[in-house]
Amino acid sequence: MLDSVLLALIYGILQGGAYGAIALGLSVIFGVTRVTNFAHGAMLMLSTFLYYELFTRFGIDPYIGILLVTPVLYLLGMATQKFLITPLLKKERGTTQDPASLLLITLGLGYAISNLFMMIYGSDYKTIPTAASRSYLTVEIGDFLFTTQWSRVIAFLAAFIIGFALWFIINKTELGKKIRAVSQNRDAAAICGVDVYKTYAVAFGLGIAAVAVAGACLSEYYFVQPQVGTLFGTKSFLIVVLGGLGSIPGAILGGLIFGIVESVGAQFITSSASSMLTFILFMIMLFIRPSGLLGKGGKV
Amino acid sequence: MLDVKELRAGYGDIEIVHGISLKVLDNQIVAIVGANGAGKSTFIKALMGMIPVKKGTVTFDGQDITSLDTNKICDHGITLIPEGRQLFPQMTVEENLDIGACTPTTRKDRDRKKEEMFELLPRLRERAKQMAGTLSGGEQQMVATARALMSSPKLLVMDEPSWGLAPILVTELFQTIETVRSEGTAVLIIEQNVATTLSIADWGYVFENGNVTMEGAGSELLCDEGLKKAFLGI
Ligand SMILES: Nc1ncnc2c1ncn2[C@@H]1O[C@H](COP(=O)(O)OP(=O)(O)OP(=O)(O)O)[C@@H](O)[C@H]1O
Ligand SMILES: [Mg+2]
Repeated sequence: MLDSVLLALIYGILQGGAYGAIALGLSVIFGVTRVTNFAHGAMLMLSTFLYYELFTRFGIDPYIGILLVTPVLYLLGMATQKFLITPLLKKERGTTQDPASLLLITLGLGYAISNLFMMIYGSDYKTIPTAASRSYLTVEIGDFLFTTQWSRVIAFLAAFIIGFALWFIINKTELGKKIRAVSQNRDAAAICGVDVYKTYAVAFGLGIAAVAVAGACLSEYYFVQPQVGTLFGTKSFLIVVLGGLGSIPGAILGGLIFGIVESVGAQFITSSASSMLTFILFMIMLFIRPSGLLGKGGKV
Repeated sequence: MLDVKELRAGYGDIEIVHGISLKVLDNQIVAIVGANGAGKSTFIKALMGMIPVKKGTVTFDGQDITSLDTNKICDHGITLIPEGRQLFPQMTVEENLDIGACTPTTRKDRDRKKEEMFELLPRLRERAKQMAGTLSGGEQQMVATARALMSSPKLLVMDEPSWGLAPILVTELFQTIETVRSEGTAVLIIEQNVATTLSIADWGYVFENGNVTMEGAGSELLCDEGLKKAFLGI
């Protein structure tokens, strides 16, 4: 019993890292642009299909594919901001409230992408049989035996690598200075000469580039299928609120907690009930600490 | 240098500023005074492209800058110290100044300008690594001023810079404004300290309900009986 809980804990931590890796981009986008990107999951799914195509057509491993897919998704993120969101923001300039249309447009985009992929690929579950998905890490301590795919370990580590990269860009570079300024006070940044809309586009691009890297890691052990996006998109949203909107460590911490609750919970109740546990956790969080565990008022 | 003609602006469908014309000439200090809610800040926001201009034109150094994006207006050489300062609270004083000179052109001079600002406002040097949000009100005003000057603007617009400052700091602030002008930057200032402001201003405008009801040389306005009653309480 104790062993199985311990195993569940380890699996949960590994899966939680992957959740965190996926959620990071969403958090950064919100922290800078104040837009909840409901197309986040769809963009993750889109990236996994690109990795799938690269692998099946050219034999390119997703880890290598990152070099090709990430720039494409960066541009896709920038374009989303530039052509869909910024025009709405400009239209609403000078009125007091942020438009509900912002929320609907990313939601609509998400559906459009999912349906497009459903049309092209159907709902079959595909897998990418990469080297990392077929080699196993085994840890044996006395009676205790733990074994998992290397690709899962890499997905876990990816959370920290992506998180560090984003943290570094935001806190240690000239671009990051502008990103933080826009995040903390958009009007003040504009009067200082910062091109707010361009900065939004860059931040959106970074967030989507981050999810593309996470997508590579995910596709190394998980199904590639059009509806996968919705599943991870919803989880990312809950994770980001749990960890604190805009917070980079918060997204990772939120992901880990989610992974652990799901996995350990499933030891005691059915796994669908255990994923309900995470919703309950999310709601409790909304009541006791709406800003999330590590939130700084929604800023990056 | 700045020439605003018949400017109309507001929020959504509500018009607040009903056709205001205003000029700032080279190297002048021009004051805008008026009661709370007269539309002074709204006028400034429209001028800076933060809300749309519904009608009228804004010309700066002969170029039409009406309704440009705010950062483009800033590129033309106008910067603003907004109402309530609007610093970046979770960035250091130094980073706040850096953002003041972050375009490709202004960035080249960043280090030199920063040094200049530390000379002008020595307090900022001591506080350089401190988060702007943790500064006192007076220090925050200094950061806002320095940040706006970092890009060597031709025109500095200030919206109630003395708000919340102790009298001694207000005196220092007005000295700073005169220094800034003497170094060749024109100043457009909105102020509640009507008497002091008009005494250093070359020209002044009185706003009332979104219109200009009076304008004249600072010293003339200062002597006006109606204005004295309305603002100076004498
Ligand atoms: N964001 C906004 N949305 C809607 N109405 C606004 C907004 N900001 C200001 N107003 C309204 O516009 C009018 C003019 O406000 P404005 O801030 O321009 O006045 P002001 O002259 O700067 O006053 P004060 O001296 O108090 O700063 C007020 O009636 C105010 O209620
Ligand atoms: Mg005002």
